[in-house]
Amino acid sequence: MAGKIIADTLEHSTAGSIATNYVVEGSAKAWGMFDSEVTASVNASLNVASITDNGTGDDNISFTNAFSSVNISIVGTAAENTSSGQSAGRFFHLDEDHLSASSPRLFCKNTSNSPLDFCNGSSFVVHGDLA
Amino acid sequence: MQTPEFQGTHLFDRLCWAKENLDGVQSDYRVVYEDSVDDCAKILVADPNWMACALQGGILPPVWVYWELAKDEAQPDFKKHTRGYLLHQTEPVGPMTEEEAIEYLIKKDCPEAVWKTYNESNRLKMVICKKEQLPQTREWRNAWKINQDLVAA
Repeated sequence: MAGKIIADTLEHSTAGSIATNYVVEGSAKAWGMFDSEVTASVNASLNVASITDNGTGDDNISFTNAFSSVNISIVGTAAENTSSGQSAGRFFHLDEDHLSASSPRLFCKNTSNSPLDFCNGSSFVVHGDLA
Repeated sequence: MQTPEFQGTHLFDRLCWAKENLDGVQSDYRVVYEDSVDDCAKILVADPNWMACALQGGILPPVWVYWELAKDEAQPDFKKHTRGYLLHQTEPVGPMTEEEAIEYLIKKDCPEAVWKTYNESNRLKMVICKKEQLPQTREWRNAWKINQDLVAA
Protein backbone atom coordinates (compact mmCIF):
# COMPACT_ATOMS: atom_id res chain seq x y z
CA MET A 1 0.00 0.00 0.00
CA ALA A 2 1.18 3.59 -0.62
CA GLY A 3 2.71 5.63 2.18
CA LYS A 4 4.25 2.70 4.04
CA ILE A 5 6.93 3.47 6.66
CA ILE A 6 8.99 0.56 7.89
CA ALA A 7 10.66 1.26 11.23
CA ASP A 8 11.45 -0.69 14.36
CA THR A 9 11.90 2.35 16.59
CA LEU A 10 10.41 5.82 16.94
CA GLU A 11 12.73 8.35 18.56
CA HIS A 12 11.83 11.73 20.03
CA SER A 13 14.48 14.44 20.25
CA THR A 14 14.27 14.68 24.05
CA ALA A 15 11.68 12.21 25.37
CA GLY A 16 13.46 9.04 24.32
CA SER A 17 12.47 6.25 21.97
CA ILE A 18 9.88 3.52 21.70
CA ALA A 19 9.89 0.29 19.72
CA THR A 20 7.13 0.30 17.10
CA ASN A 21 5.92 -3.13 18.22
CA TYR A 22 4.55 -1.35 21.30
CA VAL A 23 2.47 0.78 18.96
CA VAL A 24 1.42 -2.06 16.65
CA GLU A 25 0.64 -4.56 19.41
CA GLY A 26 -0.82 -2.01 21.79
CA SER A 27 -3.37 -0.44 19.44
CA ALA A 28 -7.02 -1.41 19.73
CA LYS A 29 -7.90 -3.90 16.99
CA ALA A 30 -11.67 -3.55 17.33
CA TRP A 31 -14.09 -1.08 18.83
CA GLY A 32 -17.72 -0.18 18.56
CA MET A 33 -20.44 2.12 19.80
CA PHE A 34 -23.82 0.46 19.74
CA ASP A 35 -27.36 0.52 21.01
CA SER A 36 -29.74 -2.23 22.04
CA GLU A 37 -32.31 0.06 23.61
CA VAL A 38 -35.05 -0.46 21.00
CA THR A 39 -33.64 -2.43 18.10
CA ALA A 40 -29.95 -3.23 18.05
CA SER A 41 -27.77 -1.11 15.80
CA VAL A 42 -24.13 -0.17 15.46
CA ASN A 43 -23.39 3.56 15.34
CA ALA A 44 -19.64 3.50 14.77
CA SER A 45 -17.05 0.76 14.75
CA LEU A 46 -13.87 -0.83 13.46
CA ASN A 47 -13.45 -4.53 12.65
CA VAL A 48 -17.03 -5.43 13.58
CA ALA A 49 -19.15 -7.52 11.19
CA SER A 50 -22.35 -7.73 13.17
CA ILE A 51 -24.03 -7.48 16.53
CA THR A 52 -26.55 -10.04 17.70
CA ASP A 53 -29.16 -8.99 20.23
CA ASN A 54 -29.67 -12.18 22.26
CA GLY A 55 -32.12 -10.63 24.71
CA THR A 56 -32.13 -8.03 27.46
CA GLY A 57 -28.57 -6.92 28.19
CA ASP A 58 -27.08 -9.78 26.20
CA ASP A 59 -25.29 -9.13 22.90
CA ASN A 60 -22.68 -10.90 20.76
CA ILE A 61 -20.20 -8.93 18.72
CA SER A 62 -18.70 -10.68 15.69
CA PHE A 63 -15.38 -9.53 14.33
CA THR A 64 -14.50 -9.31 10.64
CA ASN A 65 -10.86 -10.12 11.40
CA ALA A 66 -10.91 -12.59 14.29
CA PHE A 67 -8.36 -12.44 17.08
CA SER A 68 -5.71 -15.13 17.33
CA SER A 69 -6.98 -16.53 20.64
CA VAL A 70 -9.59 -15.98 23.34
CA ASN A 71 -6.96 -14.16 25.38
CA ILE A 72 -8.11 -10.67 24.48
CA SER A 73 -8.89 -7.63 26.59
CA ILE A 74 -12.39 -6.17 26.23
CA VAL A 75 -13.21 -2.93 27.98
CA GLY A 76 -16.71 -1.54 27.76
CA THR A 77 -19.16 1.06 28.89
CA ALA A 78 -22.85 0.34 29.43
CA ALA A 79 -24.65 3.62 28.85
CA GLU A 80 -27.88 4.63 30.54
CA ASN A 81 -30.59 6.88 29.13
CA THR A 82 -32.35 9.12 31.62
CA SER A 83 -34.63 10.68 28.99
CA SER A 84 -36.25 7.31 28.22
CA GLY A 85 -36.45 6.35 31.88
CA GLN A 86 -33.59 3.86 31.66
CA SER A 87 -31.59 5.58 34.34
CA ALA A 88 -30.77 2.63 36.59
CA GLY A 89 -27.06 2.19 37.17
CA ARG A 90 -25.66 -0.52 34.96
CA PHE A 91 -22.32 -2.04 34.21
CA PHE A 92 -20.59 -3.89 31.44
CA HIS A 93 -20.09 -7.56 32.19
CA LEU A 94 -18.18 -10.43 30.59
CA ASP A 95 -18.70 -14.11 31.25
CA GLU A 96 -15.77 -16.51 31.20
CA ASP A 97 -17.92 -19.14 29.47
CA HIS A 98 -18.55 -16.84 26.51
CA LEU A 99 -15.07 -15.60 25.69
CA SER A 100 -14.25 -16.07 22.02
CA ALA A 101 -11.64 -15.08 19.45
CA SER A 102 -14.32 -14.30 16.88
CA SER A 103 -17.57 -13.50 18.68
CA PRO A 104 -17.47 -12.68 22.39
CA ARG A 105 -20.69 -12.19 24.34
CA LEU A 106 -21.26 -8.99 26.28
CA PHE A 107 -23.72 -8.51 29.14
CA CYS A 108 -25.23 -5.45 30.77
CA LYS A 109 -26.42 -5.84 34.37
CA ASN A 110 -27.31 -3.77 37.38
CA THR A 111 -25.67 -4.15 40.76
CA SER A 112 -28.22 -6.85 41.68
CA ASN A 113 -27.01 -8.93 38.71
CA SER A 114 -30.27 -8.40 36.78
CA PRO A 115 -29.98 -7.79 33.02
CA LEU A 116 -30.65 -4.32 31.63
CA ASP A 117 -30.58 -3.15 28.03
CA PHE A 118 -27.48 -1.57 26.53
CA CYS A 119 -28.62 2.02 25.89
CA ASN A 120 -27.47 4.22 23.03
CA GLY A 121 -23.82 5.12 23.51
CA SER A 122 -22.72 1.80 24.95
CA SER A 123 -19.30 0.92 23.67
CA PHE A 124 -16.42 -1.51 23.77
CA VAL A 125 -12.74 -1.56 22.87
CA VAL A 126 -10.81 -4.75 22.20
CA HIS A 127 -7.05 -5.22 22.45
CA GLY A 128 -5.21 -8.37 21.48
CA ASP A 129 -3.37 -10.08 18.66
CA LEU A 130 -5.19 -10.62 15.38
CA ALA A 131 -5.42 -13.99 13.64
CA MET B 1 -13.98 4.35 -5.86
CA GLN B 2 -11.88 1.48 -7.13
CA THR B 3 -10.82 -1.10 -4.52
CA PRO B 4 -7.04 -1.64 -4.54
CA GLU B 5 -5.74 -5.12 -5.33
CA PHE B 6 -6.02 -6.58 -1.84
CA GLN B 7 -5.25 -10.27 -2.18
CA GLY B 8 -2.38 -10.93 0.22
CA THR B 9 -2.99 -7.71 2.15
CA HIS B 10 -3.78 -8.24 5.84
CA LEU B 11 -7.55 -8.11 6.31
CA PHE B 12 -7.22 -5.53 9.10
CA ASP B 13 -5.36 -3.20 6.72
CA ARG B 14 -8.19 -3.59 4.22
CA LEU B 15 -10.73 -2.71 6.92
CA CYS B 16 -8.71 0.39 7.81
CA TRP B 17 -8.69 1.39 4.12
CA ALA B 18 -12.45 0.88 3.94
CA LYS B 19 -13.03 2.92 7.10
CA GLU B 20 -11.07 5.78 5.61
CA ASN B 21 -12.55 5.65 2.11
CA LEU B 22 -16.08 4.26 2.28
CA ASP B 23 -19.20 5.65 3.91
CA GLY B 24 -20.96 3.27 6.28
CA VAL B 25 -24.23 1.76 5.07
CA GLN B 26 -26.92 1.24 7.70
CA SER B 27 -29.01 -1.71 6.56
CA ASP B 28 -32.70 -1.84 7.38
CA TYR B 29 -32.60 -5.62 7.29
CA ARG B 30 -32.68 -7.63 10.48
CA VAL B 31 -32.23 -11.39 10.77
CA VAL B 32 -34.41 -12.91 13.46
CA TYR B 33 -33.57 -16.48 14.42
CA GLU B 34 -34.15 -19.05 17.12
CA ASP B 35 -31.35 -21.49 17.90
CA SER B 36 -32.91 -23.02 21.01
CA VAL B 37 -36.49 -23.70 22.00
CA ASP B 38 -35.66 -22.46 25.49
CA ASP B 39 -34.33 -19.08 24.40
CA CYS B 40 -36.00 -16.02 22.95
CA ALA B 41 -35.49 -14.98 19.34
CA LYS B 42 -32.12 -13.41 18.53
CA ILE B 43 -31.68 -10.48 16.20
CA LEU B 44 -28.63 -10.15 13.95
CA VAL B 45 -27.69 -6.67 12.75
CA ALA B 46 -25.06 -5.91 10.11
CA ASP B 47 -22.38 -3.40 10.98
CA PRO B 48 -22.47 -0.35 8.65
CA ASN B 49 -18.74 -0.44 7.87
CA TRP B 50 -18.90 -4.16 7.19
CA MET B 51 -21.90 -3.62 4.89
CA ALA B 52 -19.94 -0.93 2.99
CA CYS B 53 -17.11 -3.46 2.50
CA ALA B 54 -19.56 -6.09 1.25
CA LEU B 55 -21.17 -3.72 -1.25
CA GLN B 56 -17.80 -2.41 -2.44
CA GLY B 57 -16.27 -5.82 -3.12
CA GLY B 58 -12.65 -6.90 -3.15
CA ILE B 59 -12.25 -6.57 0.63
CA LEU B 60 -13.92 -9.44 2.49
CA PRO B 61 -12.72 -13.04 2.27
CA PRO B 62 -15.13 -15.74 1.09
CA VAL B 63 -17.43 -16.99 3.83
CA TRP B 64 -15.91 -20.48 3.86
CA VAL B 65 -12.79 -18.97 5.40
CA TYR B 66 -14.83 -18.11 8.50
CA TRP B 67 -16.23 -21.65 8.59
CA GLU B 68 -12.70 -23.05 8.63
CA LEU B 69 -11.66 -20.74 11.47
CA ALA B 70 -14.87 -21.58 13.37
CA LYS B 71 -14.03 -25.29 13.04
CA ASP B 72 -10.61 -24.63 14.55
CA GLU B 73 -12.05 -22.56 17.40
CA ALA B 74 -14.62 -25.26 18.17
CA GLN B 75 -11.91 -27.80 18.94
CA PRO B 76 -11.76 -28.56 22.69
CA ASP B 77 -7.99 -28.05 22.74
CA PHE B 78 -8.13 -24.75 20.81
CA LYS B 79 -5.46 -22.36 22.02
CA LYS B 80 -4.63 -20.16 19.06
CA HIS B 81 -5.61 -19.72 15.43
CA THR B 82 -2.93 -21.12 13.14
CA ARG B 83 -4.78 -20.60 9.87
CA GLY B 84 -5.38 -16.84 10.10
CA TYR B 85 -3.56 -16.56 6.79
CA LEU B 86 -6.79 -17.73 5.14
CA LEU B 87 -8.31 -14.34 5.98
CA HIS B 88 -5.47 -12.49 4.30
CA GLN B 89 -4.28 -14.74 1.46
CA THR B 90 -7.58 -15.96 0.03
CA GLU B 91 -8.89 -14.01 -2.94
CA PRO B 92 -11.52 -11.53 -1.69
CA VAL B 93 -15.13 -11.81 -2.86
CA GLY B 94 -16.53 -9.34 -5.36
CA PRO B 95 -19.25 -6.75 -4.77
CA MET B 96 -22.53 -7.99 -3.34
CA THR B 97 -26.02 -6.58 -3.29
CA GLU B 98 -27.39 -5.73 0.15
CA GLU B 99 -29.48 -8.91 0.07
CA GLU B 100 -26.47 -11.05 -0.87
CA ALA B 101 -24.48 -9.41 1.92
CA ILE B 102 -27.16 -10.34 4.46
CA GLU B 103 -27.08 -13.93 3.19
CA TYR B 104 -23.28 -13.94 3.56
CA LEU B 105 -23.60 -12.55 7.10
CA ILE B 106 -26.15 -15.21 8.03
CA LYS B 107 -23.73 -17.89 6.88
CA LYS B 108 -20.92 -16.22 8.79
CA ASP B 109 -22.56 -15.30 12.10
CA CYS B 110 -25.70 -17.45 12.54
CA PRO B 111 -25.30 -21.02 13.76
CA GLU B 112 -25.14 -23.44 10.84
CA ALA B 113 -27.90 -25.53 12.43
CA VAL B 114 -30.21 -22.55 12.00
CA TRP B 115 -29.55 -21.38 8.44
CA LYS B 116 -29.07 -24.79 6.84
CA THR B 117 -32.46 -26.08 7.90
CA TYR B 118 -34.34 -22.91 8.79
CA ASN B 119 -37.58 -24.03 7.10
CA GLU B 120 -37.31 -27.80 7.30
CA SER B 121 -38.79 -28.43 10.74
CA ASN B 122 -42.32 -27.88 11.96
CA ARG B 123 -41.26 -24.47 13.18
CA LEU B 124 -39.59 -21.73 11.16
CA LYS B 125 -36.27 -20.92 12.81
CA MET B 126 -35.18 -17.85 10.90
CA VAL B 127 -36.70 -14.89 9.09
CA ILE B 128 -35.26 -11.80 7.42
CA CYS B 129 -37.34 -8.69 8.01
CA LYS B 130 -37.09 -4.92 7.97
CA LYS B 131 -36.28 -3.01 11.15
CA GLU B 132 -39.79 -1.52 11.17
CA GLN B 133 -41.33 -4.99 11.40
CA LEU B 134 -39.79 -5.63 14.81
CA PRO B 135 -41.61 -4.56 17.99
CA GLN B 136 -40.98 -0.88 18.59
CA THR B 137 -40.41 -1.29 22.32
CA ARG B 138 -38.44 -3.94 24.17
CA GLU B 139 -41.28 -4.92 26.46
CA TRP B 140 -41.09 -8.66 27.21
CA ARG B 141 -37.92 -8.82 25.10
CA ASN B 142 -36.88 -12.15 26.62
CA ALA B 143 -40.15 -13.74 25.45
CA TRP B 144 -39.93 -12.71 21.80
CA LYS B 145 -40.43 -15.54 19.34
CA ILE B 146 -40.89 -15.66 15.57
CA ASN B 147 -44.58 -15.26 14.80
CA GLN B 148 -45.34 -18.53 13.03
CA ASP B 149 -48.81 -17.36 11.93
CA LEU B 150 -47.36 -14.27 10.31
CA VAL B 151 -44.79 -16.38 8.53
CA ALA B 152 -47.41 -18.80 7.21
CA ALA B 153 -49.41 -15.86 5.86
